Amino acid sequence: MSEPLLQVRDLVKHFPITRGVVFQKQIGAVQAVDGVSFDLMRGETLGLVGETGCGKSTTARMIARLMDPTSGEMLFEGQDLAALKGRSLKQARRDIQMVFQDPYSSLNPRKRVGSIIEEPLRIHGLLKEGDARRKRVQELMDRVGLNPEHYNRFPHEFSGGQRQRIGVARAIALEPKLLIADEPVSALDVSIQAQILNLLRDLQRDMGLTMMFIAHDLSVVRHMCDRVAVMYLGKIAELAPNEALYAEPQHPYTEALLAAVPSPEPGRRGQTSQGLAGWFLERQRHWPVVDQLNIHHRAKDSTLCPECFAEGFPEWLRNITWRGRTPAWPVALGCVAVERELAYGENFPLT
Amino acid sequence: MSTGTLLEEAFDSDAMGRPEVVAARTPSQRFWRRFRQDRVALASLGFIVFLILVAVFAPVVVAIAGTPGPNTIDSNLLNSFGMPTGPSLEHPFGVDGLGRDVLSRTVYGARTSLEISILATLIATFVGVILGMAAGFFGGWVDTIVSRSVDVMLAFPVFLLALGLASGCSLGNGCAGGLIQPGISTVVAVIALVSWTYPARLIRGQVLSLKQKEFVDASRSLGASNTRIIFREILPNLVVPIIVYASLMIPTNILLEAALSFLGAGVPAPTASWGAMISDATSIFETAWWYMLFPGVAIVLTALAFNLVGDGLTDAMNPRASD
Repeated sequence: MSEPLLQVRDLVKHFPITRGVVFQKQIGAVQAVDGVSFDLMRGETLGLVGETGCGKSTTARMIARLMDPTSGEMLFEGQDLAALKGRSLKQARRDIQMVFQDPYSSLNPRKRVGSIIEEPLRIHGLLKEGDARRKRVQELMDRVGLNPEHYNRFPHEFSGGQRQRIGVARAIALEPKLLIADEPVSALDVSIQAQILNLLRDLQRDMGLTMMFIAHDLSVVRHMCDRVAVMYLGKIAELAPNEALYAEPQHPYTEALLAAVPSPEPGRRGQTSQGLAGWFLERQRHWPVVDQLNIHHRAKDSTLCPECFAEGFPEWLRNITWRGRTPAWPVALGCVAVERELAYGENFPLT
Repeated sequence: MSTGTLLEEAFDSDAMGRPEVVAARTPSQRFWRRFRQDRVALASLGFIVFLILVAVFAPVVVAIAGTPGPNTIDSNLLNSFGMPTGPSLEHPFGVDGLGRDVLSRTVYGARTSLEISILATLIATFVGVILGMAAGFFGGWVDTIVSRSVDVMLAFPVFLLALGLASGCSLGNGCAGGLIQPGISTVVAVIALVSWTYPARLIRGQVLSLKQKEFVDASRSLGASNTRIIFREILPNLVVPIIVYASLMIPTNILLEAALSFLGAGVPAPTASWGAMISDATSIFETAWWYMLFPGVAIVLTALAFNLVGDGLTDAMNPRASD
């Protein structure tokens, strides 16, 4: 964490409210983002939290240049993103990638997964068409915990969690410097959320990514971020290092947000807690890491937890896909431990 | 152990542990699976294929039937009162008021009818899709121009417009600076002109909803150009509505062509056309019922078959329908 990668200064986005059909007249403006400034340091994860409609997503979309700011500066490595056009904008987009909120709408249903992940390479003309690109696509799929054999499938054949992995693979294909994750887990089941969060954290560590992480769930942000910015009504109410924010919230709105986080244990209500996903992650941290295979209890979402195998998955694990119905055992939040190789059709030794 | 059974089931349902190259069923394969189960649509498709073959090989069909060509006038086939003779072994569909064979004319009429309706549908769909996509995607003044044009076109009494244009263009050197010559191209142009509006409106609406999807944003943030987004991201999602709409537009255009020909604004005589045949038959219907019956049946069956296939396509392509 040294020099800033991105400096946002007085970023403003107003949406005009117009009246009239043919002769439109502006009668006002929605001030979605109203003067936001912050620095994003190289290699850090900045959380952006706040309630729905507070301008988090709008801020992210302006940085990703999906939306033009009304005014303000966004200096990315000293270059103002807002002023870029044409070729230089296309070049800058390589460094800033985004993971979207809804894994169902963020993948084109008419394209095969391989083609979706290859798209960034194709747009920027990287690698040779054919084998080289396919190899890279399969590498990426492997990296995000998808079976590389599945590059020929369509998005509808994947579960929500797997789809989000596809979205992550697409976003890291260009090896960006900044990854903007716009509520990447809010559309997913709680136990899957943890897997995706772990994936993002690993990627950040391995690729040296700088990340902007948007969420409305404070427990998720707490798990992921170094610093947290709390947004309220288009402005940043408070920006503080993770622990400080939770320990001593300075702004009354932050306090209110923290109080609203539900506790997984009813008796501890009112204390600052981490929500279900955070709780799950905490638990997981204490489990033995070697030789463990996590299979989620919901059939379609079976995925192997990437942390379990520090040196990559053994070959016999790669081909497991789980398609049954919900098993009868009480898999607390979806994990069973397997200590050895499984034969085809063999029962699980449960722990 | 109940857990074990569940587990076994779970694993049996998948090729666990056995490496295999997974080839997913493509959307088109799933579509064919569903379409094949629809017998009515399949039978109608069979009829359409038959009809297209008949139209393409009209001379062969006529030769096999042993009837004279469609424009061969033989006054010997009229009886002593000058009236046409009815169905017989030599002329299964009878002859018309000028002594031309009705079977031959019906067969050649299929050519006219299919040629015009399919061409007009292709042109109208193409124009409608391009304009609809531009309007939906770019919005602003492009949308204003396209949408208002559609509104104006829809407010016109379309049939009167078609009638006027068709008769206007059928004179002398045609219209649009000689681009549209009298004959089939006039009818095609007129039908296309009045029918591009519906696909344009439909596609515009679809694009408006598609461009809100995050995959469009994703593509843009990857650096894709507008052209790329329109043709590589949005267009593939429009294939289904385009095919469905085009398949339902063909029967409408067959009827429109028949109506124009009936009113004398279709293809010029002596080219055989079902609508024109019915029109000719009205004056002698009381004695020569066959002259109206066969082209009439042809129109009804053709329009019906195309409609049924269109419905079948709609059902098979409906993404909410299960396998």
